[in-house]
Amino acid sequence: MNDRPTLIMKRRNFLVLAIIGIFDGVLMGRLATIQAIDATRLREAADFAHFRGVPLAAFRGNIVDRHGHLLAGSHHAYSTYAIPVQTRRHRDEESLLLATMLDMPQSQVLRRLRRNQGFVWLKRRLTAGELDSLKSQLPSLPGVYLVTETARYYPEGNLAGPVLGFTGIDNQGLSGIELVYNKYLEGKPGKIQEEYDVTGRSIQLAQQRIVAPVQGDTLELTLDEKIQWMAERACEQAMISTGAHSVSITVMHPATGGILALAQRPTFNPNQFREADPKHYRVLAVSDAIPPGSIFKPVTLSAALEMGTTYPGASFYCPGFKRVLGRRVNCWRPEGHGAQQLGTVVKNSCNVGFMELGLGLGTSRFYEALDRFGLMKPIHVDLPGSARGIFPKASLVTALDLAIMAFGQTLTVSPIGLLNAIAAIANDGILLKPHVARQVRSPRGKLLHEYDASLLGRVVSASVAKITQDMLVSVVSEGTGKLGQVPGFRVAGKTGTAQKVINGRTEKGVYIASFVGFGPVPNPEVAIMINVDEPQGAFYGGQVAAPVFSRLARDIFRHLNLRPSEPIRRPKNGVPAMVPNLVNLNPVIALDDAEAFGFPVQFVGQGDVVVNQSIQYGAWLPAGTRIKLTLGKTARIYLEWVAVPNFVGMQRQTAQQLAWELGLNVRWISWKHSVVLEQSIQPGVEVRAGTTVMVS
Amino acid sequence: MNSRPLWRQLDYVTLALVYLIAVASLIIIASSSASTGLYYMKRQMIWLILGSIAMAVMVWIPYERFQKLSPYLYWLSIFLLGVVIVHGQTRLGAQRWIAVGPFQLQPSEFAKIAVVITLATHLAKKTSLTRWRDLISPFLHVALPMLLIIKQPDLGTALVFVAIMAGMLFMAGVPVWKLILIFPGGFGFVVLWIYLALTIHSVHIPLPMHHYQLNRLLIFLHPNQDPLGNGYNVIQSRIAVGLGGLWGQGLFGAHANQLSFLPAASTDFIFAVIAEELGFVGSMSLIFVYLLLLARGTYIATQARDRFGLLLAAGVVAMFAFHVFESAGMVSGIMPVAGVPLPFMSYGGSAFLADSAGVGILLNVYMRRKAGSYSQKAQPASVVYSRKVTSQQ
Repeated sequence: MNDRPTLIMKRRNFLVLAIIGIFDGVLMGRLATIQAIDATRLREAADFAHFRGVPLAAFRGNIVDRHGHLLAGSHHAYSTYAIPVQTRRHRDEESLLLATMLDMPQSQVLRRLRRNQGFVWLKRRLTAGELDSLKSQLPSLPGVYLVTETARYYPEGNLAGPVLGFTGIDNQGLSGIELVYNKYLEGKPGKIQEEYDVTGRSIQLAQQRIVAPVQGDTLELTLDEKIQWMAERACEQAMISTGAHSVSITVMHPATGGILALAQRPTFNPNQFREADPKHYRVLAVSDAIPPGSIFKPVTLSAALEMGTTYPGASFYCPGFKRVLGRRVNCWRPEGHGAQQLGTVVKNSCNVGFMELGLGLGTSRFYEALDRFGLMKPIHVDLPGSARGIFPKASLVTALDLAIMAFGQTLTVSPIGLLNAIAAIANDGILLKPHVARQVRSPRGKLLHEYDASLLGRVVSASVAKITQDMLVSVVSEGTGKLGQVPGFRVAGKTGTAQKVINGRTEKGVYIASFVGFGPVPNPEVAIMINVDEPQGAFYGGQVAAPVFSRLARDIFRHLNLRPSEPIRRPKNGVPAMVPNLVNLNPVIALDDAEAFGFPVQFVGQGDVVVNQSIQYGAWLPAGTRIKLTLGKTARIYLEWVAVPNFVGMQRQTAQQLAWELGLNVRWISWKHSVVLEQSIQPGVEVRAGTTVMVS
Repeated sequence: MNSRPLWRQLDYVTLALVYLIAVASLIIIASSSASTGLYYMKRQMIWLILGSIAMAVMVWIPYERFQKLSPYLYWLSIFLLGVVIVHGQTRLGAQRWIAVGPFQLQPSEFAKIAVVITLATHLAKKTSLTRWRDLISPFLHVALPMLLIIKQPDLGTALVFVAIMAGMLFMAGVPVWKLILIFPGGFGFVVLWIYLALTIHSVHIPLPMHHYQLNRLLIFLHPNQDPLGNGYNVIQSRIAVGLGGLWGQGLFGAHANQLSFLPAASTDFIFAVIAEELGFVGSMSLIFVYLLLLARGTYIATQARDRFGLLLAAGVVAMFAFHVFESAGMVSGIMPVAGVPLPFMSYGGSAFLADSAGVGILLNVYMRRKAGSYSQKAQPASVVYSRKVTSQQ
């Protein structure tokens, strides 16, 4: 039979079967590879392709001061986005409508709608008007959506602006505390994910995944909003009265190392940080290394006492200069201080005495002391850009260098580092870590981190610290820092006038006037550093910075409810004295205060609180000048925001009255007209109560 | 001869396997085209019924009669393929369909069955297949319909013809070394040709195919080179397979195909849907069912009464095998993308009818197998273990 299947044909059948089997095995292996090994990667790819995510912004954690006062908060903001593929039908009409509603050029809107992306932002942070018009038009705008975001706001405006920093459009911390503690503050953004089909339409059986956002943690700062405000005001006044380049004030709590206030001028308002010059974003006291000048002397002094190279009764002679390595180094007083004991050397801020202290210490012990005070390394402060002081290499230091460094020239330190060293002396020799953050708490209030009182070690013994404190008290009570006195309190302080070093050369006639002080002694509550950079006219720290300290320390002590420990000595009549701030005080206290400064007062009107004083706070007048105090029923609100009214066209009397009621000051530029013609601040602008408006 | 009635001799194993796949197909099609309701499933049900009728017809006619019908079948299929070229319906960039009432028919699917039958007839008549010149006429026989299909263009179906020819020549007893020279050798020649055409620019060498076809073939090696173009199908199907995991996303629960990311989900890429919805277990079970079907097919071939029957069964098995491996292989990335349907699984009437006819042929061959296949073992003397074994009587 010719057509019978042959055996070889049948045999080949098994071969076919084998080939089929091998193919099957390969297929199985391949499937197993894809479905087991590649599966996770492929799942991600699928999620990426199938899900379109709309971000749900998290509320950034609040920043509050040590009393819970809100310094940075978050509010809802609306943004609009588009899913370009869904707009393809009516793109031109939509872009026209959107452009008019959102006040954007149509070409820009169109470009965004045409983008080959799953998601584009059209406009972030809509204004109320834009939001309203967009909401009403939304049904006619397929593919355009609104989303609730959050935005940062700083209720206190430029108060502590550089310290707080600011955040970017995605609420990420970009500077200051916002940057340093971003990981606690940022929270976790959530998202709404929806499945879309291949043409970009949301479909009915789609899965929707909602990941809820997590609010950021609350950051409590060591700042005290009231003290910060006082420091800000002091800065502002110092800028005006000295014409300085910049002013920086740091207030620290010596017992914990917490910074109570950190103010500077120029500054910026983080609500409008884009309009500010980026160089003002820096916290000057942290990121600048400055030649300290005489305010460095307490460090040399306590080091020399600690090392035993001098003792409180040691005697010195100052002829007005000292020759070191053949070079003549002048004391600041050309005629010299003559014979003096250690206490007097400090009181007089005598450079010759300090050169001898430095030379007595020697380079290695001097550097050891610097290291102990934490000045050799960048200061561990929780603010960005911490500067490190610059010192000549120990092996290269000559006796001349050492002598000059002993009174605070040729070396540089960051103000906050030096303040921290002084605060260690105030704290009986214990050095703490300076910090701005006090606690991190979860939104529910659970304490997560605590930063207060982190010890770095003892720098000098308690007895040396006490001796140094007493010597610094005498600087204020009878030495160079007399203008830093706070009536009724024992305060310690040191003045400083440093020659600025510009491009490696000590410039003549360009100074940094400083004052560092703490009080009340013993058990100081605050340590304050004031740096006035390039004051015009008077430039000695004792003249320029000490009065700022006096006013600020007085305000702070009052705010802290400290009881005066010393009898208040009144200045003699005729001696120039500063008019204190008496507004908002109880008449009895106001009377006490005014008399402490040597000004008799006269009350006008009736009430429980002083609402106005006839001579402005901060003026210098011969003691004995009478001040008229107007009494009223309600305190003038100094710590609130007010809108400047329109004074133009008002009678002078009416304008004055209105300004009082609002808590503003008016200053008349010219007295020619009986009605107001111009005002320096535009009507409607929100300013702090107490701001002075110039009118004419 | 067997005394039992013919219908008692039906191969119920094959039938069961086929209907298992076909019923599963209804569910998968319903799931893969869920967005359009049950439209496609209902249509597929009609095809299932029509296919069963076609299968019954193919079983009923004793397969020896196919030999007489062979020339008519062959020229009819050539005529239909010609009609497609002249005025067929263009869909997806190819002219493959002609309208018959409410349905579009794909003559290339019938051509496959026609070629299986006619080639079997042709080869069965040949007394010798060992010489090179013996192979010319079978080649021309297949080349004519194949070229017409390439013209459509439908590369996937054209390749099915190559598989059918290879399987049948192999079973017909063409020496293995010649087959190796022809098929893998021919494959190597085409690869070399394309390689030269792409690398040598000094001499213009025409490509044997369109550029897009070449890209589609090559893209499976590096799908991410063109993820939104040629690589799109490959990537999306691989994602779908990967999403399946061990147990799958569940019927109607797959996202790649429900969201229409997966192209041709209910036809050529249906295996990806199965892999996504039923996972490794489901897709492997299906592959196993196909393996059983193919194994059964080869068994039927061994049971054939004569060479013609054996060749018929071999052609059908080769056709199915190629469909299964190409359709599942391209989804999992071991084969280049060339659209062929998964037998009895993919949506599509012509393919279902053709596959049913193919199974009908298998059943026919089995039903009319020789009564006692043992008797052949009783005559070992007639078998010579040599290459020229086919020429002996």
